[in-house]
Amino acid sequence: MTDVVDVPLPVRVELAHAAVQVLADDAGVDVLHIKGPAVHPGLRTSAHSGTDVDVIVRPSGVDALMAALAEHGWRIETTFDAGSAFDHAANLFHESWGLLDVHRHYPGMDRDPAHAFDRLWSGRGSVELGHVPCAVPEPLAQSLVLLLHSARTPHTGGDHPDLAPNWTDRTAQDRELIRELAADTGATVALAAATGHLDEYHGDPEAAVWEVFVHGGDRLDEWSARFRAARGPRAKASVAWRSLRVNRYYLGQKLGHSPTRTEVAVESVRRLGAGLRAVARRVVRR
Amino acid sequence: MTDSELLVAARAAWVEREGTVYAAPLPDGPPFVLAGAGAAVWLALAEGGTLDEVTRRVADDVGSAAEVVAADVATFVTGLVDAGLVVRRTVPAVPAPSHD
Repeated sequence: MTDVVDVPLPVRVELAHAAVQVLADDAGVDVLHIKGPAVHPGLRTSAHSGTDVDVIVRPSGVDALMAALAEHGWRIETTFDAGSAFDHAANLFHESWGLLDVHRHYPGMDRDPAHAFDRLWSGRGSVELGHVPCAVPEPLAQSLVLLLHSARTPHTGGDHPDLAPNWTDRTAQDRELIRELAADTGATVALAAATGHLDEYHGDPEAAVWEVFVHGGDRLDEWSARFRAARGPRAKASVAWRSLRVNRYYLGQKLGHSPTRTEVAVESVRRLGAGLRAVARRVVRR
Repeated sequence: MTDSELLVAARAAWVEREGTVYAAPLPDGPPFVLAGAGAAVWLALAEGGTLDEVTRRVADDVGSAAEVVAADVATFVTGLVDAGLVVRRTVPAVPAPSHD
């Protein structure tokens, strides 16, 4: 028997989906597999073979799943609140399986993650990945997931490739069902961003976040939008605090080693200075 | 009287691509690459059956007599069992039909 050599990435990703499903089953946690090989073939573009595993986990099971993953050799690369503007996913790495994104909620569906997961789970289907049954959202929900992803993924030269199979080429009835699903999962504004209708929500605090992705913007734009979109004083304070916090993972990647306390402190000052300079430039422009 | 049925382990995943099988014990891996005759044995085994049945399928697949490949198939299957990829399930043998 040949040992571990040259496993093609698409194969490794498919096997990794199966590994995560088994761990989730053992932990008694519901997960939905999204993107890559979990996507219904008709909704997939050629670029969709996937380079990592993506799952959405039932919010009440996040801690249990993360503990199970840690027990089985998955190392956290970025924590939930360090990865993206939406604080939605933790990124993990495993020597056998490669990269995994665990989504505790899905960007765009983040107003009530538990309800959104319930909605996706109630209509779930199953697909065999590595001959292991894995739960997936129904095809219309897969389209919504892919559309929301496309809205925050920069793409140059025309429409995002996911737009046609998941929206433009779908029937009017399908599009209406996707709109209904988006409304039920709090994703109406995000869907509008994906389908070119974000202007209809101009002035909506939630739209501000998506405008940064759709129309472009710097980190200050992004953090400002996040601040405006945050609901309530506690959420706003959290955004303000995190905007100044150093992401140790990315700093480590930049430095090539785990950052020392001094390096983190220096980066904090640099980050604060960069923020103040960005504000100053805005003032001068006005 | 009993016989032993070979099954892909419930806690194993596998993918076949262009004649090569990639199989892994779950949830930790690592994946193993089964090429050539190894892939033939795996694909024969994935249909289920006893070692004799698997051996016959492999022999048919490679165009040899079952006796020629039997020892190699048995050794390879033992390796798959040791790797946690395959399990042996003891099942009652089907009684011979009565001719009363």
